[in-house]
Amino acid sequence: MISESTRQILQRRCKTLCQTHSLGIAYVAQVLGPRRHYLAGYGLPTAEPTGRLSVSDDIVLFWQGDLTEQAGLAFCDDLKDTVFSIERELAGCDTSSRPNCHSRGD
Amino acid sequence: MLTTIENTWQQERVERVGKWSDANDYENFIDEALIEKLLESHRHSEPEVVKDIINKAKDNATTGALLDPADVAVLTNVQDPELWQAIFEAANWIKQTVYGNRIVLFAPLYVSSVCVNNCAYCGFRSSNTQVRKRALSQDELQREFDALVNVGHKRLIMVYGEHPDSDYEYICRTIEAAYQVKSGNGEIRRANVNAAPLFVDEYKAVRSVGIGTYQVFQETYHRPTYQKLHSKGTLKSHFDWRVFALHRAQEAGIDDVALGVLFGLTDWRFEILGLLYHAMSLEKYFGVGPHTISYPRLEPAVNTPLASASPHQVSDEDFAKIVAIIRLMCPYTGSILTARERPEVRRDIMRKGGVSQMDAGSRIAVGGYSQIDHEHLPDRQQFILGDTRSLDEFIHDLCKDGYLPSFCTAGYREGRTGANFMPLAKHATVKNFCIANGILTFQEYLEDYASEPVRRIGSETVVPQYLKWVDSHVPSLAPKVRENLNRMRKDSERDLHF
Repeated sequence: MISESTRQILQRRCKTLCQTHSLGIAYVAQVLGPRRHYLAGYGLPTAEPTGRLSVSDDIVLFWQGDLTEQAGLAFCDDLKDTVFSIERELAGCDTSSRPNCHSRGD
Repeated sequence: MLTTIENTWQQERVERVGKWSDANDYENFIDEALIEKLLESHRHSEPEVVKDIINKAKDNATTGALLDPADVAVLTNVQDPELWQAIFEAANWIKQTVYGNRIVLFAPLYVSSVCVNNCAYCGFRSSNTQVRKRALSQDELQREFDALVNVGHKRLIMVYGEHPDSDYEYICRTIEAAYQVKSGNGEIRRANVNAAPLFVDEYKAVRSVGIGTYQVFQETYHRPTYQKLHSKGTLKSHFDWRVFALHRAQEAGIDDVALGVLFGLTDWRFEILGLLYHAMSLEKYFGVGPHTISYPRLEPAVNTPLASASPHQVSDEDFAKIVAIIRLMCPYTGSILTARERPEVRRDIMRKGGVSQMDAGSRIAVGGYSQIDHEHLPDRQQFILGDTRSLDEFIHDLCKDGYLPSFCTAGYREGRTGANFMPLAKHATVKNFCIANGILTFQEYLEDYASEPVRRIGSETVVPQYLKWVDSHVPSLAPKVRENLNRMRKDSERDLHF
């Protein structure tokens, strides 16, 4: 789980991305095995092909609409600081109880 | 008799549950007196009132609103066969509106049957010495996975007993193993979990391996019945611990959770309202309602007299009513009809109840898929299965009835989970994904696993029929669906999805 403040930051960034590039939706998800777990975003999904870019090993950006690779990469780059805090929050959430995982305090 | 290890494990957890209970501040959502009063005060309603509720339910299909408890109480008391016909038609209409005419297919995989609990209705209860209970080793599990993927399954519900040998770490290990399976074009793409309530830290660990849905069935929402059926001192005897199990899962970040009742333990009318209040509570606290609702009926089990002699057994006629009311009261939720039921009952309920997910080719003995020729292994099963058709036979029957068999697992792999999934289901647009992905996954089945009769009806009738649906309902997607079908047929590509 991410904090409300982080969720709002992601939502604002995705909103800006949607408005700048006329996208129907943009959202950020966490990689959990095969699951891409929705964290936050802006817009509503429709049954259109979805684009995706890895923001980091653990975070993926999804969107629907025309987004150039360059614009997507620029967004991911801008998101670096936020991603760092997301990963810290998620590390505290997801791995602290599993003895064979790296977690805060290991 | 439990072993010392089992007793110690249970006692430690019971103490921890006590501490959780002392700190729990979720508001109780099951008020027995209120539910009974609602049922009593709506015992007789005018037909116009019932028709208004049916229309309201249909309107809710595109807003995602739940029916009110009073509305549901009215529906449970309808006697007029014509009104029931209208309810069944509305249930089917709502399902078609939200999900389209596809049926998502899955297989239950009983991973462990060992259990410290002693539930009076369950063949796996600790005191039942006539049923052999065990947890699969990794090698045995692998054989089960192979048997499942080699007939075409992609989606599992993995079932675990509550026991130190199948604790949350075992759950994590076995789910990770499921996702590593690769056999030809076969793989497990989604593993849902049916297991005991966990602590938040344990849920977080299970979340981290990428599960689909976490399912905890309340069994019964009627506290006095619950206390009577679950031996004092066992983990399962703690009603609140179980009724808030999915609240804790949500706290841990598991946002696809699934409800269920074991119908036949008390008055089914009461249980339906219990399910509704549960959904309302989840929406209130987390803004996300149940991903699915299941409605297993009590079935006979070896050396389990209650399972055959409950005074609240649900007739086939009432069962159809239950499934239809659930569809009307919670239009967005997935509705799961299992192979507990006989084939003729399933066929009837699918039409009347607005069912969206079904298991097929199921075996429910621990290790049962490795001995697929044995339809029943009663001394290893929780109950006796009603539908033992093979997956291919089941699909053939679906095709003959005009349904689209679907192995779709795309949603949760495309980030359409929790709060991102709900708007799709609540505004009835999810069917656009469902049908497109249903066609693609069914084509995979036709290419890799289908018998000749299924291949024929699938390629000549079902796929063309649903391609036409995509042409007329989601024309912008149609060229891409056809392109993906060609890539699958000509280039043997797999797992193409939206």
